[in-house]
This record gives sequence, structure tokens and C-alpha cells, in this order.
Amino acid sequence: MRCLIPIAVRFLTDLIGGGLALGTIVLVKEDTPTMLHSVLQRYFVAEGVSHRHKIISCAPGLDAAAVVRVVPQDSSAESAVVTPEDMAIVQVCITLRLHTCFITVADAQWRPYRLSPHRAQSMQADSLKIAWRYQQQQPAMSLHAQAGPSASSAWGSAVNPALLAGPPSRTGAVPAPSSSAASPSKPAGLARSYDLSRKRDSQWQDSNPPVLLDALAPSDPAPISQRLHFRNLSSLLQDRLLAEKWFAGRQLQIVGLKVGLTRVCVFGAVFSQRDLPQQLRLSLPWDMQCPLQPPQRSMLRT
Amino acid sequence: MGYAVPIAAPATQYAPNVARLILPSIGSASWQQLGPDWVCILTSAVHHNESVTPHSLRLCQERAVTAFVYDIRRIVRAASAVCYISVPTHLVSASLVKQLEHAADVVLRINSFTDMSWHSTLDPQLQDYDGLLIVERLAHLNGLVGHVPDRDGWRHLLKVFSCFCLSCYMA
Repeated sequence: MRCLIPIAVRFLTDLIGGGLALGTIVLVKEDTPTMLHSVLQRYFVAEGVSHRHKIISCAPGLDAAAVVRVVPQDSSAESAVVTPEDMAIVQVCITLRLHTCFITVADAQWRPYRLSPHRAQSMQADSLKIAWRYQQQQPAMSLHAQAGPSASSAWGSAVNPALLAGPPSRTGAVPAPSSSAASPSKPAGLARSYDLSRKRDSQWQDSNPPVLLDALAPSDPAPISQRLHFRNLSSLLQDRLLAEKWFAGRQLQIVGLKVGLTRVCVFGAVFSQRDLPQQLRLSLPWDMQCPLQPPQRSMLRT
Repeated sequence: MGYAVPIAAPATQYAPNVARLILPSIGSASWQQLGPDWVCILTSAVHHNESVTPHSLRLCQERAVTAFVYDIRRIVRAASAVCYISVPTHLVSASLVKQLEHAADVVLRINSFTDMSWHSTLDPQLQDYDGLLIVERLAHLNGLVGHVPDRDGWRHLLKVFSCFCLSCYMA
């Protein structure tokens, strides 16, 4: 069974069969003179933020904070003043050149982003001043949902954790999203709409430095960077799994690791889940004893 | 030994165990700052007994991008994640686009009306729209036949409202 992940655009979600199945890749060919594809990407990010998915934006030279700034706000009145808690968009891209073999892994805390009381009050006041008349309106996509063929489906609901209990099975049909997976705080069938004119993180720049990794740095004095030194590339190529074991012991996760002949690039996010409650922590995709020490050269050879 | 997954998460909490991986504008110039894979280039040049040319450089760069996407697909397949990749078709070669299409499960294409010379010849009802959203490929997972949309045509019009709310309409 596979979970279906919505793409925030109601019509497109229905078109592709209820959403993207876990483990799939969607390729969007960009339009040349305009930037309509970026709108689709913003919605993809916004939907993930609404569901508190892990948003991982990877691109060399990309300012990850810039991705955060363009995430649209959920236009529903319920979440108009909700802060983007547990949201982290991390971009890690480290090149490893020949004879300078080391990997620097920067981990980012999923630190709950909370507003100061003064800022929260001002935001609530602004919402009352500006958006009180719009709160009575139905979301735009709900109107389309009523006319759609699957209006009764729990589109936009949270993913049932029971379906994620193990690796996605390669057999079986794609299940439709279950209404039981919906959270009571968000009723089933609630279709969100997003307003790009209202940035979700309009206050992000006010209280956070532009460097996202620094902004998400933990408050404790623990180092945010872990360094692994490898004597040669062959040891790294052979014992990548061992390195992952070490990261697993550090409550970290490597999302993507590309190993090339002349460079090693870590694409993805490496984040700590220590701040998350135990029941919300991501399960480790491997089951093994995690070494307490970084892999040594002798360990890498064995 | 199973996976350490909570049996039932609190109903008031969302399940944050799904990752959305975004690779914007893959194959563009920003991705090339990593530098070419010189070992691949030299190996290919030696293998084909030819000198290093800009064409071979481009081929090796495309090969690296394709291999990277296949690596990503392998990772995403084994994880609870979905991946969003956008490719600037006007910046990369058609062969690379074809390879990326083969690696992807769902392929969408957005054609803007802005650059179309036949925009003026469109139906007046379509003048308000901004472009075409074309579904070129849908995922065929766990079977030979995948989801087939029960709607006529795979081309849909895409409209961006003035309030920046995105919506799609059938053609």
C-alpha cells in the first residue's frame, strides 16, 4: 500500500490519481518566458508545510531562506496566524574534491519557530483588521471541490502514520486517502487554498539571520557541524553504510548522498529530531546497532 | 526486528514523517558550479580515443545530471518521500530532457501563452488563461497499467488569478 501525497492543486491532484504516491518523482518542464512553474513549486512547498512534512530544497547556490520566503500562507482563517512550526528547509551541498577528502555535514534543528508575544499580538490584530471579512468566505478550492467528482475524499488530510510503518510495499494497489487519517483539528475534506500575496514567513526575516543553517541552529552549545575525515575515496565508497550508521547514532538522517569519482555531494537535509516528541520522530530506515564513535579507518576497511 | 514506528500517533498531531524533496531547475547553470566530472570526461575521451571537446564536456555533464536523478530516485523509492524536479527545457538539451522524463514518474509540462505567436488566434474564452498544463506522463507503479484520468484530453488550461491563487480548469 502506498500513501498519496497531494500537490496542493486540487485539480491536478485529482488528475494524477489522488496525489503523488510515496517514492515517486514528478518532473515539471518549466515554461520559458514566465514563471508559472514556480507557483506550482510554492504550492508544493506550502502543502508540505501545512502537513508539517519535511521540506527539503536542494540546489547548489540556492538560498534556502529564499524558498521559505515565498511559501504562501494558508488562506483559511484557522491558520491565518499559525506560525510555521517545525519547518525547516535546509540546503546542504558540499563538494568533495580529490585529495581533500572530508565531508562536512551541517545539521539543522527542527526548532519550533515561535513568535514573540508582541509580534503574535500584532499579527492577530492585523488579521482582525484586514481579514475579518474574508474569514466568512469559503476557500476557493473548496468551491471547486464541491463540484469535483471526489469532493467527499479527505484531500489535504494528514497522512496516516500506520501506512508508513514500514518501507513502502512494492505490491498492492494504491489506496485512496482514508478519512480516518484526518486530524480532528482539520476536518476531513477540507481543501485548502493558498494566497501567495500573504507570505507565510513574512516575519522570518525580522528575527532570523539570512543564513538558514544558523537560524535553525540549536540553542545548546552542541556543535552544529559534524566532520568526518576520510583518508581516501575508496574507503568512503566502500563504507557509506557505516557512515550512515554513525549518523543514525547521532539522531541524524542522510537524505541523499551522491558519491562520484571526484566529488561527493550530500544533497538533502540532515536534521536532528531531538526536539520532536518521541512519537513524532522519524523512524530510522535501518535497524542496526549504531556506533558511538565516527567510523575509523580500521573500521572502514573491514 | 521491525521498524521503530509509533503504532498510533496522537490524533491531534500531524505525522511529520513524509519528506518533500525539491530540486528546482536541475541542469541549469547553478547546478554546474559543482564543476564537471573530469575523471568521467578524461575516461570517456581516452575510451573513444578523442580529445576533450565542448561536446564531450556537455555530454559528461548531462550524464552526471542523469545519474544524479537516478540516485535520487533510488533514494526516494526506499524512503517516505516524494520528489519535485523542475527542468528548464530551454536551457538543457532535448536528450537530457528525455532522460529525465524516463527517470521521472509523473511528467508535467507548462506552456505559457505569453510566448506563443498564436495567442492572438485563441478562442476569446481562453484569453483569460495564462497557459496550458499538459500531463505527459503518469506514474505506473506496481503494474503495467497506471491511473488513467477519466477526462477527455490531457491538456488542461492553467490560470493564475489576479489574487495569485492558482487554479486549473479543463480545456
